[in-house]
Amino acid sequence: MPPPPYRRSPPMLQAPLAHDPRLPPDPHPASAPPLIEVINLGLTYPARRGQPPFCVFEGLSFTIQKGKFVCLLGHSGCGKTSLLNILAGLQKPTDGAVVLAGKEVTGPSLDRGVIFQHYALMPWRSVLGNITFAVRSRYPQWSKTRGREHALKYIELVGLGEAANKRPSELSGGMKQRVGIARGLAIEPLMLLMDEPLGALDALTRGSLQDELRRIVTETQQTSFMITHDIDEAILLADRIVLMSNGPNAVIAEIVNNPLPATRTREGLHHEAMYYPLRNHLMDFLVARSAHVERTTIHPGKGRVPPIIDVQPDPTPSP
Amino acid sequence: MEYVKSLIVTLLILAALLGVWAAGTRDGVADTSVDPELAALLGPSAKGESPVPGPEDVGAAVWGHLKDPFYDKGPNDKGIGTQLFFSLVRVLGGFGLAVIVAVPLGFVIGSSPLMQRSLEPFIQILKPVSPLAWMPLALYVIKDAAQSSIFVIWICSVWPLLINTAFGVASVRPEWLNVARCHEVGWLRRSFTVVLPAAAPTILTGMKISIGIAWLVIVAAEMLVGGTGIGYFVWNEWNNLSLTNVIVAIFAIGVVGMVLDQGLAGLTRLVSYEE
Ligand SMILES: Nc1ncnc2c1ncn2[C@@H]1O[C@H](COP(=O)(O)OP(=O)(O)O)[C@@H](O)[C@H]1O
Ligand SMILES: [Mg+2]
Repeated sequence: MPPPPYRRSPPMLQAPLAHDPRLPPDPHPASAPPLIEVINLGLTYPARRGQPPFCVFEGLSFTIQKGKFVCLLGHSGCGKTSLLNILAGLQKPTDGAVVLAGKEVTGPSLDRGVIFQHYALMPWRSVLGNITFAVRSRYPQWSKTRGREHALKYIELVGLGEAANKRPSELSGGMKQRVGIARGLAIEPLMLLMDEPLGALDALTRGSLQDELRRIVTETQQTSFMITHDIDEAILLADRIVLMSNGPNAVIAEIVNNPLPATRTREGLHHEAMYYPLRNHLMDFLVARSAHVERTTIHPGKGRVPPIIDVQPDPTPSP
Repeated sequence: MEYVKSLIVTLLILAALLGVWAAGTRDGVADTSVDPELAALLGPSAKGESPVPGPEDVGAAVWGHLKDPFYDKGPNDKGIGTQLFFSLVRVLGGFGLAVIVAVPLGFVIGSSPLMQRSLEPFIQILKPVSPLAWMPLALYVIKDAAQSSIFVIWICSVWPLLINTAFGVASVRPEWLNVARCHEVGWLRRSFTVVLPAAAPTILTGMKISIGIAWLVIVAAEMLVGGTGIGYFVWNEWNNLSLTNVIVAIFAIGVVGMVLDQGLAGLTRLVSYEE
């Protein structure tokens, strides 16, 4: 059977992109145009060797506002990596489109920084060399010293100042991923994309890198999209958590707002009033509901717009 | 400490080999029953001398060559250094031309599965051909003995270079190429800053293999075409019945081959990386 015909839906109608500078600042930032818009995204692998075509996901639609941190939670095999690769432009969807800052994504570009699960550092370059490779790509007009200073700034930011001249083979896994994060940030992208960046690390290292990421994203207000299957990681880092149902034909089941205050820390997480309601909600989804998400019809051009959920506090027993 | 131990063992083995060699080539008692004039005609064996020179003969000859390696007394009498120099020039010339052709071509083959598949049969058929089989064709077409041996070196160096370069380029980790794509790195910059450094250890291993084969082949090629070179030197000394000089040449060829190999091994170490 031939692959399904290539359909590309028209971009969603949106409010005007630029905010009129004469007006006072928008009091409802949520209504500002989103930085990234995923519209009716579908991915189907064509039929092969007697196998029917394999639909990984279809009708994915969601948006990400500038400065927000969004985590994607879902079981293994539901298509998270494929979705991230499409956002990065490394892979083409079979349906739908991704629009970043008003422009359709057609391939990889420097306005998206990608952090890979297995670091993808070049072993023949030092830490500094890996970062300057990125900086020189982003700012080819800069002088060598300027590029070097810029790279060193980000190496300091991830706490690797001492190791700038080391080769990746001399670093631990956690340090390697710090280099990966520094490289992603050094190109000052509109959007940072991370595919289980801490998934290959041991629990202790993962914890300290979670703190580090939390500090960096609150400092830099970097818009980020991160795949994880660690619920606490999502609760600590994310402003919004996108829940994906099990594949094949995966859909986005819902998008959960993180009710925890911005001052949350990893150690204090479980003291937050809303921590357990949120954790229970997410856990309940992964354990029970992710396999039975109802597939609503796909709205032509809009896909399936998932509900945005605000988790309710646990009902306090009445006196 | 390990190094000292292995050095001691090496010296012991060397002493044993020299001892066996000296014992095996010791002159016997002269057979006095043979008429001295006949003995002179029969050569060293009749005089009770071993036909194979012993270590002391070779040592003296080596010393003689080392004192004056570069003399030139006409076409059939040149110093061993001069002859080695001729051979080295041919090997490095043919090898250099092979690098110029095979590395870029291997780059193209390695980065395109289509080229890989379509050139595979040619490489598979031409690679196992002994480079000396090309010699008559080369002599006929080029009509110059020295250039023909350079061509023979070229053709034997090309295959390992081509195959290793293509393999090295084809096995560059996709994640590094994805990093290049995500940074909008153009074709040229990607080739020089990602693909080439990633494939460099494999390419240099190919060079090491190539130059080893080239050094093997040059001796045979020069024996065939004659004129100059260490191969011709060996052949000429065989015609002069000077086994001592043949043995000296064997050592000289071994030493130069080792230097070439170690040189490229050092270069390989420079570009290799630990993942
Ligand atoms: N080339 C391919 N052909 C067919 N199916 C594929 C191919 N690549 C991935 N898949 C399927 O797509 C699904 C999604 O994969 P992936 O995006 O890696 O999932 P996740 O990251 O959520 O674990 C998997 O079920 C996988 O089997
Ligand atoms: Mg994955």
